[in-house]
Amino acid sequence: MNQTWKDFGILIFPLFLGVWLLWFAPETILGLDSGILGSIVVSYTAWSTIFMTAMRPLRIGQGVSPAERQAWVGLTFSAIIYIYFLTHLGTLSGGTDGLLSSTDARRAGQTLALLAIGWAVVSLMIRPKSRGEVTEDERDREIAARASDWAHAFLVIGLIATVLVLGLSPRERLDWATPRSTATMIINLLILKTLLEHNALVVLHWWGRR
Amino acid sequence: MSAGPLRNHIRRLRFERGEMTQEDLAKRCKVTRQTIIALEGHKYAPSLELAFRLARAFGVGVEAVFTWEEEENPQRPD
Repeated sequence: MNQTWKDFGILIFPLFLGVWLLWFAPETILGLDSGILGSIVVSYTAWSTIFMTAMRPLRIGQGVSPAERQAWVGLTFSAIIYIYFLTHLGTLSGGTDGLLSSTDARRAGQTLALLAIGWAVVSLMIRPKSRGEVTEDERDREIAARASDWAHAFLVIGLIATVLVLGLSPRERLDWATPRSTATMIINLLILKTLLEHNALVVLHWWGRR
Repeated sequence: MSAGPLRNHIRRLRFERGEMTQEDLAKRCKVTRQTIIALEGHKYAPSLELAFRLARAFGVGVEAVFTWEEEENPQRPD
């Protein structure tokens, strides 16, 4: 049987179960809300898929280095975080109150924080477990430095552009620039910088083993 | 990060030493297998320390592992 089916076949049943619970099951099952049950099952399946995908190169014993594995996890999570951030941009940047005053903004912020925690947990889980296995060597550090330089350059350009827009625009054109939207704009730059950095890491690692 | 004019004979030296695997060489030199792959593909120029580790792993001098390919019209110092 194909190795992929052996690895991931076990997740098919919980995936179908979660989808059924979310969309097709009765509202309550054994007194429990089927929507909540479905969310838990789907979340578990998604989590297990990410974990097993990250672990596969370790089990097969070839392919990518630990640093590249981390880069792929970083790219995946930063992309998810950025997509979530973009879809909730209105919630985060709208309104004149502080971010903590808005329930929706607080909820979005909590989800972003949970995603960041999930990223840290998955990164820890995929670190090499065996002693003596090299987790990072000089080439990995050079790649990380190059990717960091590019991301840093992007951040500097983005910040300068933001400063110029805010500093040089006439007052009547800055009605949108509330403290909250300005803060959201800076957070946008930081998240995008992280996403670009991990994208550069993945590309540089891939190029080296092509 | 490209190796530029620096070339190496790592792959040949591996095969001359009982078909040493990339993994084995990587462990001896304390780097990842992917770094050995990049070295053999001339996509990475190692540090001096790594160059010496590689030479020690093969039991030869550094110049037996690495060569510098001169440009077509090298500038001669006066």
